[in-house]
Amino acid sequence: MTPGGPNDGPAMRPLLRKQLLWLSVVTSSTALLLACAAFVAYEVVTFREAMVRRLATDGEVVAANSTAAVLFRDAKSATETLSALRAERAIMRVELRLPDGSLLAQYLRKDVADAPPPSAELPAGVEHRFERDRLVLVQPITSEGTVIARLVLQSDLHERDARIRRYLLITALILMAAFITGFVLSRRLQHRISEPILNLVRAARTVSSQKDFALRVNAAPDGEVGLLGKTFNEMLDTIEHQDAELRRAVAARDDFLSIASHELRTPLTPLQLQVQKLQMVVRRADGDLAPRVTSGLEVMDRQVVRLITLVNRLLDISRITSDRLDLEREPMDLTGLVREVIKRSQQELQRAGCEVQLHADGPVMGVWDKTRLDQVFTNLLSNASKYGAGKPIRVVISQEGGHAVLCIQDQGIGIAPDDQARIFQRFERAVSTNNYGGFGLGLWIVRQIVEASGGRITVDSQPGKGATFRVQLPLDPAASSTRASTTFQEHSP
Amino acid sequence: MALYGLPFRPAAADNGPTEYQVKAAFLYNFGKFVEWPADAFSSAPDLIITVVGDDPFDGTLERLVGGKSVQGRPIVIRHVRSVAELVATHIAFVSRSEAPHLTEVLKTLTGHPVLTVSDIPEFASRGGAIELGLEQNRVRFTINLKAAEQARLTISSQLLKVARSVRQ
Repeated sequence: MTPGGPNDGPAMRPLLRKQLLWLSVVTSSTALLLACAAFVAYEVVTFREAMVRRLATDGEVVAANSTAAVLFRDAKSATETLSALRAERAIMRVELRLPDGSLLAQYLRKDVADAPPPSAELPAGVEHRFERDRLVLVQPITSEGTVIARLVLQSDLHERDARIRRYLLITALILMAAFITGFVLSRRLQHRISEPILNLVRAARTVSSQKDFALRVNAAPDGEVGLLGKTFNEMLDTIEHQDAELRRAVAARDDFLSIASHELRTPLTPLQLQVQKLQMVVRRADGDLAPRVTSGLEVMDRQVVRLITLVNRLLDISRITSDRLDLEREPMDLTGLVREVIKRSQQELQRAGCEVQLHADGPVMGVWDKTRLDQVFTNLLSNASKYGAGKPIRVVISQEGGHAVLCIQDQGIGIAPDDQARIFQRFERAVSTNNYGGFGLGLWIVRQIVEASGGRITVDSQPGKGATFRVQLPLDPAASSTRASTTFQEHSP
Repeated sequence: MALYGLPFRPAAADNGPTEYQVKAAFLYNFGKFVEWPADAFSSAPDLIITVVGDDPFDGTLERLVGGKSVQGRPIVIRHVRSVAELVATHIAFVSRSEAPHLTEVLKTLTGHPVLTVSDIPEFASRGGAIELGLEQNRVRFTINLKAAEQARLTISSQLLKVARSVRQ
């Protein structure tokens, strides 16, 4: 399973929906916010212009009506004219200043009688200015083309502020309404997008967990998601086809293996018997040819034994793959078995130049298939001598709790970390076939036997520093079957 | 222009306009708020201000108003010794020297489109159009609207508003 496989499934459902939901809600809200902001900005600017225009109009009217009062310096009349601006509630203060800066008349709104005058005179040429809390506008009074006085009008910004507040409130209300509407709508509409995708996810999960390659999804007739569904179905077609091919190929190979190994073994047994018979005959007869014939027959015998071993392995594989590996359990002594195998392998060990050091406190009794355990240890010992580089092999038998533990430690070439899991698989080997012969089947068979016996096998090695194979077997597999099966699952790849 | 209608100070004062400087400015400014009938300018487009009698302005009028125009009309200033010499004018300033002959002066001008202005006391009540007076050291004026109407002159409401009093 890839990371984030079926276990992530339930968490993905709300995420996709949430993303679609937020996508539409955020998009629409942002668009609306921008539109509202543009609208408010436009309105505020327009309103400012309108304010200036209105104040300027008031200023012009008052200026036109103040000419005589200014020319004849009639403060009373000028004040009366200015006070006509009472009607404009926004106007806080109006000053009529003569060119020398002196004040001829002024108007103060009642509530701003104590308000300070504008912070500074407007520079020449500037007609109006927005200050923090007011709009200041200067209107010149002219007569015969000459400026005879200046009106300084100040208007408060209450109306503008109220308007901005109202706009912000309206914008907030619109956004809220749009947000809620968008949320509700997209909640309903996003199913159209998310549902087909989620169907695909469910289908993919079923396919990967149940290996049901015959499953197909109902793809939408068009659109990207429909295409995805169709592609998914096409992919399943291919996988289903390839899976069937693969199964046929494996079945054919297994059949071939089974038939071939049986057929190969049939002539081997009589051949071995004949070789042994000849060896006996030659041993009894004296003569000059005896030593040469004896050594030739020994070679033949060894090769026949080797051939039988190989063919037996093929048979074992055939049995294991077709689930026909039947264990014949009986009470037996593991230490005794190990001693027996070491004794039998003396010749091979001597050829490899490896000395075996056996450490065992005494008999270790258990209920196992003796033939199969013989096979396991023979194989491991053979490997140790084969890859042991002629250095001593240490074999330790111990008993830990309800388990027998068998360790075979060599000091040979070792196994790289990457290869350590691989060597227990079929037809896999850590070393090249050029230097070391074999099918790459031995350790696979060993593992199958150990696991079928409810035990486990592990390897601990560093390249160049040798390898230690550790076989752990329950003393009575029937009694600890639950535990053994748990162990099996934990260490299966 | 700085002299226009500012409250004048007594002659003894150091600075500020004199009484007749203010009055000269008033005379000019009246021209802005009075409308003459069209036939008043049939001979020439100029606006003629004539000082009748002794000239109390001592040249101020020429200095202040000379070269200016009002309502698009160049201002021309003339001086006559008596009303008999008066040929054509739009504003007639009757000097105090003419106080003894005031009735005769006004009678002569009756029916003509001429704005009569004077600082002779009781000028307005005696039939003059605008009477200049003093009030708390400020030059103020009274308008006799009836006299103006008889002279076919239209006086701007702004001017009426600024006047100290208006006689109907």
